[in-house]
Amino acid sequence: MTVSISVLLSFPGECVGEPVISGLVRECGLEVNILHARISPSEEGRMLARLEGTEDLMERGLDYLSRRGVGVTVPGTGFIWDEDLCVHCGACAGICPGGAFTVDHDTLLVSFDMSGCILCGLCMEVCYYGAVQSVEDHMKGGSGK
Amino acid sequence: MMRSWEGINERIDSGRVTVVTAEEMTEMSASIGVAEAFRRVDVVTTGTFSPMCSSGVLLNTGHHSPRLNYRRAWLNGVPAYSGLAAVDLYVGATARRESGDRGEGGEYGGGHLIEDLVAGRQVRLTAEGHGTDCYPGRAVEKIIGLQELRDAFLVNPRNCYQNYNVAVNRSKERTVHTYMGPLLPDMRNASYSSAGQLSPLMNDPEYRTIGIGSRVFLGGGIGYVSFRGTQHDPSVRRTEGGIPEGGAGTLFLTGDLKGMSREFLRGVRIPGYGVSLAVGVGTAIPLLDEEMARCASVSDREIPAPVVDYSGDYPEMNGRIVGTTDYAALRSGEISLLNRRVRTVPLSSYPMARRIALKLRSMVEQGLFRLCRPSAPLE
Repeated sequence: MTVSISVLLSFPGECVGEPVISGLVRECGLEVNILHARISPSEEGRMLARLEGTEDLMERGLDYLSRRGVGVTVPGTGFIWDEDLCVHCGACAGICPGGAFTVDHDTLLVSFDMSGCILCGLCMEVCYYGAVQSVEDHMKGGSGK
Repeated sequence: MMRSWEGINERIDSGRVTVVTAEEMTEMSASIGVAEAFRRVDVVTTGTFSPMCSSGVLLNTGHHSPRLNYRRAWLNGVPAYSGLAAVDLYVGATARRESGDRGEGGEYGGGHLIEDLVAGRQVRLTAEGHGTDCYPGRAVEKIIGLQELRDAFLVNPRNCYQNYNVAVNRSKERTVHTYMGPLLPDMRNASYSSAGQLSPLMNDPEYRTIGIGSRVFLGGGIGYVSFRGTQHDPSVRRTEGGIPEGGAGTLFLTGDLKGMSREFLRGVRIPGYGVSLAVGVGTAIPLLDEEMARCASVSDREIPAPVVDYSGDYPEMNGRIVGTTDYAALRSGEISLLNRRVRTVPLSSYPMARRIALKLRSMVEQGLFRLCRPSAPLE
């Protein structure tokens, strides 16, 4: 049976130079659709990808990634920005790799555009005020306060 | 020309006072010069809004029937310090809820409790008594709100740090989780936490007008400087303009929680570190002479900040710094460090700092905030 999952891959600095994704395709036989990536030499990189293949191949592929030290997490579907809780410190914009959070040059106020989001979740971690919530948490009823 | 405290207060009372924010003062001095700006302006207001961990609330719950002397007490599950008189309690901003039924304990703490109280929400008091002849009560459980509490004072032993570290992570492998937020490996971000040119102690760097007894804007209400804050260190090396090159002065602030607002007191949750309270503080600086006007005209570019590696040097406390930057660079979104460009992450809210300075400006203009000469200096 064919399965298909979205995964967030984090590459430690030392394996950025290795052709990990082509190995995933050639050696493990998975289909890989790269949705977003930010990888540069000697830095920890992040990639959002959709993997597709049989259950056996998927298992082999995930094992292949973990043996190479690549972190694999299954991301949520998106984020909600609660402006009422936001104090506009701009921490989210400072850390967001996709440009989904930005700060207006004049007003210094934060705004959010989901289309730039790569689902890395750093905004949730950097927001001390709970103003960024995953869609899943939001559906469950708020920030868990 | 000189101005006196009394003269400035008379101008406040008669509605003739001229007040600008520290940001406006900086722009004004840059365009018309410090001397002319001093002639036009009587008072400069400052502001800052940031997590300030050394904060807390001192509560007197009122007595119970039968009387009870707290041995142990919790508010919404957050442990309160009860080693005081019978019904006095202190809850620190970073105290964490002891794990509840759903195991979500550490997510909620003293900072959130303070926000809940000031927002008018009811909280659950649970306590055990010593059970003595005069205080026989052994247990009490009660739902209370801010209005039912006999007293609720914000008592913050260290606020408004004058300058602070910029945090980076020089390790190659892993993200470190600190009170300065997540720091990505290989210096991929730098976190900073000061309102820079709007910050209270940056505009009076030698503490000439702020001291013990000074009235301040605290958490949306009125507070006072009770003493120098813990870790207050005026001896830190300074620039030619008198600005300390690292953390220096601090303020011990106190005020009545009942007059404050949730807008300026917010519980915060810092992954991998814990919980705290973000506090809004503002000061009003009388321009007694041209030297005070020069101090209150400080710009972000003139304020240096030390960059510290939180993956090694900070936890080891070896005093090393990676380099120095300034607040103009930090606020541009990117600094240059060891020949690299590093993105910056602000933890202090500049828009909130600006809102506080503007609010205090209008309070002074309307005669709602008079200035008072300190009764003793900060030493």
